[in-house]
Amino acid sequence: MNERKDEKWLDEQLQRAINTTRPGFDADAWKQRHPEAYEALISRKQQASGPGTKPSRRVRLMVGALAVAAVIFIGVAIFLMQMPPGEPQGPEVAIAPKAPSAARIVSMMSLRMAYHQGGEEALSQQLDAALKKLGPRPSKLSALQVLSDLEG
Amino acid sequence: MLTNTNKKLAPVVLAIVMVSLVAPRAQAIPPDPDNAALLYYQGFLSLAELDDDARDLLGDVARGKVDPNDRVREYLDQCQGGIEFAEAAAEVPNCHWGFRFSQGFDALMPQLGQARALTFVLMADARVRAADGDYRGALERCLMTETFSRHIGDDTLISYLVSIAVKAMGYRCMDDVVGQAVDDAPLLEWLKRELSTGSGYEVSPVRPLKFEREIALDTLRMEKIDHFITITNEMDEDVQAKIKARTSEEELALGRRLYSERAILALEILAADGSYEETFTQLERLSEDLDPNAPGEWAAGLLMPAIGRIYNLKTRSVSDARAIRIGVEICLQRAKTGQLPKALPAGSPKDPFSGKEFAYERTDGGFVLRCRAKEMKTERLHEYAFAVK
Repeated sequence: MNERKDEKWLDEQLQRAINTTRPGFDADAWKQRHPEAYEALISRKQQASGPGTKPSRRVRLMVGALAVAAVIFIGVAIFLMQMPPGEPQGPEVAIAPKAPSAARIVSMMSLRMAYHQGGEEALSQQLDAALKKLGPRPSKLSALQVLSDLEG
Repeated sequence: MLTNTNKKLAPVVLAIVMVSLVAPRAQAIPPDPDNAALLYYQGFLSLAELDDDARDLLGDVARGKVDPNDRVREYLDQCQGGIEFAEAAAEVPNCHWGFRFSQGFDALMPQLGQARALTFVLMADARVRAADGDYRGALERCLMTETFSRHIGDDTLISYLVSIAVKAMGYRCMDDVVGQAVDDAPLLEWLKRELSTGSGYEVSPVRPLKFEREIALDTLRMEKIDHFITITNEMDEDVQAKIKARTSEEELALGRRLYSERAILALEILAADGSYEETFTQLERLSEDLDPNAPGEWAAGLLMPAIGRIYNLKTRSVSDARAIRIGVEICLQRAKTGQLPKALPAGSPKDPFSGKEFAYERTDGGFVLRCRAKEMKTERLHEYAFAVK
């Protein structure tokens, strides 16, 4: 049971007890009975809407809350901008069984064996052979060429 | 109306405006990489694709065998992007190549071949600069190899060997350039300072030897025997089958023990810092008396690094570094007095092969520094000729 229902129940009980309708506020009658009070009330309302008047506590709270919300919003936005983009969730690719690779020529074991058997000379020769086989990549390929190749 | 509230809110609003204006701009240009390897990798990709002749010519110029010509200048122009990346990398203290230790002896090191190629380009560029009379520029290029060598590092023994080779090439080029700049005392003073300012870290075979011991002990296991036989480059399937049939867990346990004991001994010998001859002899002994017909000993012997030879290279590198320092000091005296000194400058570092002073000889074309003892096994006597113009 909530508060509003309580109030309704109380009104009904009062009405039943005193046998009358719900009490109401007759503004016209009150204005006629208390003209000075009415004038004072009107003038206060006009002052309150004029310049240089303090805002109500509710207004101040709302402005403060807005400022805090703005700070939080900007903070979150900056944080999100700094975050690296997430890994795209692509379809799972089946891994093919390992085949002997040309890159094996530069495995630690292969290079060690070369040094073991022929010293620095053999090691240098194997590294040079690897360079011929594996790289370097062509430097003349511009970003534009790469894009046009990709676009077919 | 909102006077007091405004006063309170003004700093908040100002802060919001400042943050929203400044923060996005500060993030607009991200910093350059703080890992030199990333710059080197880009440098490798930016080197020109040269044919065998072009590569050989660059190599010969880099080694000082051939004088620079227009073709070399053209090749170097094509490699300018790679050189610029190397220059940027030299300014970055940290370098991690991303070596996959988890792959053990099967791990690939494609960067090492590329590192050699980049060194040839840098040294050819140094020779071109020297030929053009830009000795300072040439020496700056040579000094870059010191940083590059440190960056190549000592993750593995092979990296260490390449690192030493790169540094040696820089020293050789320096030996040649210093003699040409013999009249420029301020330049020699600058080089002397640069050479005495160490980076604080010297590559060493000790670190990779420790890593490789762990890798070897992990490799010598029955569950990895197929893979081990494959990576030993033994292509004959019959031989592979025989090795496998004769290998047992007991044999591999023996192999692990032998390898481990000898690797630890090697580390102790290197740490003892004995004389060259004594150290080399002890290290060489570690690879001996392993029976190639006993599978465990065969496996241990196969994985045991040629540590004696590695120690030779380490000693040679020390000798190279000391010789250039002495050479610069002698050239400085020549620049100040107009004459080469009659004897080595006082306090000159010793020849690491003999532990004695380098032999110093004035020649018609300049002077020579010579080690007083030969490198063991290769029987090479190292000497450093400085041609003074």
